[in-house]
Amino acid sequence: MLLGKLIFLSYLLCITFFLVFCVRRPKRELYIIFIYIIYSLVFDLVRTSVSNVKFAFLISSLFTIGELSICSYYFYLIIHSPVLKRIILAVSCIALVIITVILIRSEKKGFDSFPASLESVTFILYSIIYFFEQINRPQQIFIYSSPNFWIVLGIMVYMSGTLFLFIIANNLSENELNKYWIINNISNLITNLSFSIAFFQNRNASRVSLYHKSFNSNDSLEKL
Amino acid sequence: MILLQVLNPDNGISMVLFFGTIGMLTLTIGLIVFVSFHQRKVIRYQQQLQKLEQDQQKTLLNASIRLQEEERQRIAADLHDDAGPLLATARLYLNENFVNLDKNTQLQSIYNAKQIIDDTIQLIRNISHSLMPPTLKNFGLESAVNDLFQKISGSGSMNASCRFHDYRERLKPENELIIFRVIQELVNNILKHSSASFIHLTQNTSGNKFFVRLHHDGRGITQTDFEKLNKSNVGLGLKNIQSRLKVLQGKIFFEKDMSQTYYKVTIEIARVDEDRIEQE
Repeated sequence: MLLGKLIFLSYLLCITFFLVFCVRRPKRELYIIFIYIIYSLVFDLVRTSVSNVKFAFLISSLFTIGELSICSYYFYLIIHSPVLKRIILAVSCIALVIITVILIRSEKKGFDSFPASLESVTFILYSIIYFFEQINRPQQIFIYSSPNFWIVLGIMVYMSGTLFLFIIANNLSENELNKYWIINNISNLITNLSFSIAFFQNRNASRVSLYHKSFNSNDSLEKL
Repeated sequence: MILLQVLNPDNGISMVLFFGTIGMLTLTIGLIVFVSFHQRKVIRYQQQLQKLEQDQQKTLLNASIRLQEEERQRIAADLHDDAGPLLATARLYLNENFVNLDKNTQLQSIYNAKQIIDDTIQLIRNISHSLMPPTLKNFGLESAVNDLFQKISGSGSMNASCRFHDYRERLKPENELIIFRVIQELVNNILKHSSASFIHLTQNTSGNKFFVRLHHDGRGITQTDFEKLNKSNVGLGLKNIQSRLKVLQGKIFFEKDMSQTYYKVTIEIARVDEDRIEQE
C-alpha cells in the first residue's frame, strides 16, 4: 500500500516537474515522455481496478504495444545517426508485429510474458545504442546535465530490473507473481524519479551546450 | 527455461530472479558509469586538441603579420634610403640657379639629372617587380619561376633550373601568386642558409594533384626540423609558407633524398579544391 502510494506520488511529481520546467521550453522528446507517463498512470490505475483475467490480459497487452510505440518514437527522436535511426525503426516495426501476432494468438490469460520480455530487451538495446552514440559524438562534458540521459537511464533501469521478472512471470503462481511484483513497483518508482530529474534538468535548456558548437563549428583564426 | 525445470521450482525461481535482476542492474550501472567517465575524457581530449590548433593558428597569424611589417619596413627603407636621396640630388641639379648658369653647365646639369632620374625609375621598377612580378600576372607561374631562376643563375652564385612537365592549364591567379611566393621564400631560404651549388625545380600533375619539387645539394631541413621550427619563435619564413599553403589546403614535405646527396621539398596541392576554396 505504501509503495503504491509512493508510486502514485512519483507520477504526480513527474507531471508537476514537467508543467513547471518543460512547458515554457518545449522539446518534442520530453512531450513524448510526458505522454508516456500519463499513459502509464492511466493503465496502472485501470489495471489495479480490474479483476477479470481476460480483461486484465487485454489491458496489459495494449499497454505493452502502446509503450513500445511511444518509447521507440522517443529513441528515434534522440538518436542523431541516420543509420541507427533506421535500425531503431526496423527493430521497432518487427517487434511490434511479433508482439501483436503473439498477443492475438495467445490464450489471453496470465501475463504477457514473452511480449514484455521482448520489449525489455528491445529497449535495453536502444539504450545501449544511445550511450554508444554519446561516446562517439559527445555533446556535453557533463552527460548527466542532459535530460535525455536521465530519461534513458530511467528506461534502462526499469527494463533491466524487470526483465527476469517478465521472463519467468508465467512460471509463477498468482500469489508468487504478486509477491515478486514489488520488483516492478520499485523499478517503476526509480524510473519516475529519473524522469523527474530529467524534467528538472530541462530548466537549463535555454543555455547552449558549452561545447556543442565548438566541436561542430569551423570558427578559426584563419577566418580573420 | 530448461534450467528452471531442472531446479526446485520455488528456490530456483527465486535465485534466478534475484541474481538475474541484480546482475542486470549491476551491468546497467556499470555501463552508465563507464559512459559518463569515458565521455568526459573524450571531450577533454578534444578540447586540448582544439586549444593546440588555436595556438598554432595564432602563431601563424602573428608570423604573417610580422612578415608583412618587415616587408613594409624594407620597402620604406628602399624608398627612403635609395629613391629619396636620388630624387633629392636630381632636384639639386634643377634648382632656381639653373637659369643663371652658362649653356654648357646647364646641359651638364640636365644630363646628370636625367641619369639620376633614370636610376630612380629603375630602382622603383625593381621594388615594384619584387612586390608583384608582372610576368606572373601576364604569363603565368611557369614564366615567373623561369624568370626568377634565370636571375639567380645569371648572378653566378649558383646553378638554378626549373622544368614544368604538365602545366597546360593555369591555376587561378591568386593561387599562382601564393605558390610563387612559397617558391620565392623557399629559394630565398636556400640562398641564405644552405650554401647549395644548385637548385632544380620540377612541376608535375598526378590525377587531381599539383606537385612542385625543389632539389638542392646544400644544407637542408627534414620534416621533423620543419615542425620543430614551426612551433618555435624563429622560422618566420617557414611559418609564412605554412600559412600560405593552408589557404590552398596544400601540403609541404621536407626530406633528404634516398641517395642522401640532396634535400628535397615537395609541395602538393589538390586542384579540385580550388573551386571549393573559392566558394568558402
